[in-house]
Amino acid sequence: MSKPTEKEQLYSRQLYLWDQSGQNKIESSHVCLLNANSVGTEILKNLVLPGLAKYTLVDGKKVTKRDTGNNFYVKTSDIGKSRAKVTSNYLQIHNKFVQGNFLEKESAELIEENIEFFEQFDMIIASRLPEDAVLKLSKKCWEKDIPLVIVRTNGLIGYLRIMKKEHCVIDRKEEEVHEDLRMNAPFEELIEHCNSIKMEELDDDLYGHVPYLVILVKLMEQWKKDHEGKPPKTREEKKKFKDIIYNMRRSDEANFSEAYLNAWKAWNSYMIPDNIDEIFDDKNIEVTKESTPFWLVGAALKDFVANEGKGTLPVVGTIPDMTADTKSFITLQKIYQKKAEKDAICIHEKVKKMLEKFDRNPEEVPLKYVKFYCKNMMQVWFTRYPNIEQEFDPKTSKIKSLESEFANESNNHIFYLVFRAVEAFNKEHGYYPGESNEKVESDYLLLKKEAVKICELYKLNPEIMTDKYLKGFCRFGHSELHNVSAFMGGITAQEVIKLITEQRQPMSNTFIYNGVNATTTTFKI
Amino acid sequence: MTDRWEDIDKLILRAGPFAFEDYEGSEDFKNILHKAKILVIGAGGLGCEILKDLALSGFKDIHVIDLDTIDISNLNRQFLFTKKDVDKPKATTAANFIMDRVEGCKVTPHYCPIQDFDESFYSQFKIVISGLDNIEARRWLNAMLFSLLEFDTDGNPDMSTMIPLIDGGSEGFKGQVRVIFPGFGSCFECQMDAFPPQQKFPICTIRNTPRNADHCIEYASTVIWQESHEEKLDGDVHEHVQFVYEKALERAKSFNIEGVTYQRSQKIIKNIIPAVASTNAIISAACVNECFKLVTQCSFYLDNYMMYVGNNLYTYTFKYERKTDCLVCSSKTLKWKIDKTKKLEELIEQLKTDEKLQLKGPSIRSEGKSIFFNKGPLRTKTEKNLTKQLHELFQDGQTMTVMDRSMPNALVLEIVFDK
Repeated sequence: MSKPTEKEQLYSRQLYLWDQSGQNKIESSHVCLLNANSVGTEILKNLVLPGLAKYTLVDGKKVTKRDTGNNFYVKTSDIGKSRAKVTSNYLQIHNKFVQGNFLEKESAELIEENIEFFEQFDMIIASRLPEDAVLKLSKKCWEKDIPLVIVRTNGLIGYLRIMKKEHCVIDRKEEEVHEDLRMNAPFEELIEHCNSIKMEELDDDLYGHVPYLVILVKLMEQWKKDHEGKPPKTREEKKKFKDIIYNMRRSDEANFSEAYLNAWKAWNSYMIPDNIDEIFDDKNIEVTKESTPFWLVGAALKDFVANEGKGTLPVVGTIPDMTADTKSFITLQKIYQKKAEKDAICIHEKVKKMLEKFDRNPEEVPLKYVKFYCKNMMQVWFTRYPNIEQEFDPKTSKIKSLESEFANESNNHIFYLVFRAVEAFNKEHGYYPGESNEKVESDYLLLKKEAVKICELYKLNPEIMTDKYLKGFCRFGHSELHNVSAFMGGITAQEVIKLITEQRQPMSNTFIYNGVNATTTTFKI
Repeated sequence: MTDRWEDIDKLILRAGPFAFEDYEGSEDFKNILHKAKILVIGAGGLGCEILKDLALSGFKDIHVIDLDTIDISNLNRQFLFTKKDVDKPKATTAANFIMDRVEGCKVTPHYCPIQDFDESFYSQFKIVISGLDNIEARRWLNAMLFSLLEFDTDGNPDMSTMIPLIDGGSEGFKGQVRVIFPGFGSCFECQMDAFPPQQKFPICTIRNTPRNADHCIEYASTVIWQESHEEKLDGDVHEHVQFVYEKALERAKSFNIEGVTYQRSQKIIKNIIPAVASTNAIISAACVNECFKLVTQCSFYLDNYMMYVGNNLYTYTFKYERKTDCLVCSSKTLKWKIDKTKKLEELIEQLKTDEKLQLKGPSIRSEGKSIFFNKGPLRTKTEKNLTKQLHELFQDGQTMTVMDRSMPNALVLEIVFDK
């Protein structure tokens, strides 16, 4: 191993989080940011630093004095210059490996005049873009399957929405370990190995280092022989089973304590995990010529369970550390790994057959992918984000179903409706409520009208939009507080990284930040 | 014409919902904001963000303390530094960057440890915000700010001597923000149980029954390194890491173990905390937002803890309760129960490993006598006491004064002999 390269040193702290495979995806993504305002530049900063391949920043404004009070990427001496150019130049300082482009153009105009422009990007971030423009852009993104991220801020409140047709994650980086040890459904090779260990012949040191997993498999095999093939069911039987473990101890061996504490894993019946059940029950499991690798493997798994697996999934193949001597542990580990390898090859063969059936290249889904999928089987996950049109249209929108949440003051759902009313106000009047000091009071009355209209549109009780929220937003006056921008900039960039790396579980699909009491709420709309 | 602070003005100059009922927006609060003296502890991942956020919240008199210099591995998140700044002090470089970018904001850097300053320094600030990567410095700071609190004759804390501490912490995709009002509500020390001492692998596993890559690296970086080197193992020196990596790899091969890599070796040697720009942005913004609201009074505060879990975007905001037997903020003397036949060295080990105390290298005095000194010439004089039994050194119920570098002031513990 030679000395780490400059890039390896630069990115070392984040590689622990998403490894080289995630980094490669970040380093090949081209992201478009609409509007280089306070929150927009903060998002981009948090993407430039970890090494995005390329960004294109679209902004038609000139730097104002107000920008120097909320945007870190302008200076007083830049007032009057192109905001796109100035902010892009300062952003570039953070990372020489990132290619920065900018376009001096009003985002809404660009959407109106040249929607095809957006087809070139891997992802689009719309920062404080008026609702009409968002809707139009979202249709293009949906058609071309480009993820769209929508961000809004107003005073102490922030809003984030992700739109993507389907997002599949194999590597959720769950902290909680989901074991797949099969003590309750041992495979042939495991039983054979356990049978070969003659506990009573071992000296005290080796006896105290037999992995608990082996102890439990052996005991359960014996128990089933003595009980017509059935594991302990009643409380008495379970106690009896545990007593056997307890009485097997020669002294106070740690491996037997582990066996005692984990005994339930041997008698609990085998279940297909919920995440896999959801995949099996989804419409996409009926694979077609267009199916993605994720669903092809899913379909192969379902077939495996029905046939070779006799009701069980392929073995994941990893075992946690446990009390054991090196040789016992490594031998056991290899048995799991070998079985996992064998199962993965079986799945791969199934996938190849499907591909052949669909006249596709049978090597399109490599064995490496299948192995990775099987290894992470306990956490594979998918979600679908409804499109903005569906969300807005009262006939298809889920807004009505959230009525009780909107009325609940202890969470933040209501701010979604307030943002909608504020956008409606802007569409109607050409400015945002509370922007000027003289109109705070009169804007409140106009905003109330818009709020009532929104409620009527979605058949909601208009009383849920109380004065507190409407007057509160008139007080905020569409202000860009830097702290709220920075908070939303961090959250948004992190979600974008999750979407790009296809690691971890991105938020689905609407997020509200409440800077008044430092709380957040995530919900589906 | 727009005004520079018009966004902030909307919150400060306008009364309305999401503010205290008697809040009437006023220019006074804006002046307080511009004049408030704020201290930032740390100019690293959180510190860079905190400084930027403060400057763009209208704070104009900021001090920052950091004892560190810039390393290339900082640059993926510590955005006030570039490659040409490597090896320069973080505090100075960060201060200069902010002052160049944000006109009218004065940042005073201090390139030194926080322990270099005393009460007279800390008492000049309105609020302290910390973005630290270790518990020791946080405890010290917490105790320092508590010691500045003055009490009236009835024993009630005097509000005007209270300096709030806003503490941010981040690790990978996780982080937390806490707002501490010394003397009012729970302090950092009350929350020490949130940081259990780090678990190390049992030495017999490392020596005799390694089962995974980490066990092998741990062996190579401790046992093998000490056998063959006099100098301390330094995770920043490529040759050192390379040595450990090769030895660990050798050992792993002989045991048929897979997974030893250079990167993994370095992580274990340096105890590296994974870090990314976005998490630091979130936590710092939440900290400075609280600072802004506290100083301007324009909205409510966080009471008192927000946890952030980025893996699946989740936050949890709750109130930590004050501990009635807190080492720092309660007036109770902690009773230390121990067998009188135990030796002094065993007591010291207890003080280091106890969940609540977690001291680094305590020195002990009692009734005017030096029982043990951790360092310096007094160490050799007091070392002989280490193997003495406790009843030879203390009476039952006697108090001992414990000094430790994680505390600015001494702790007083009462020795109670177990039966």
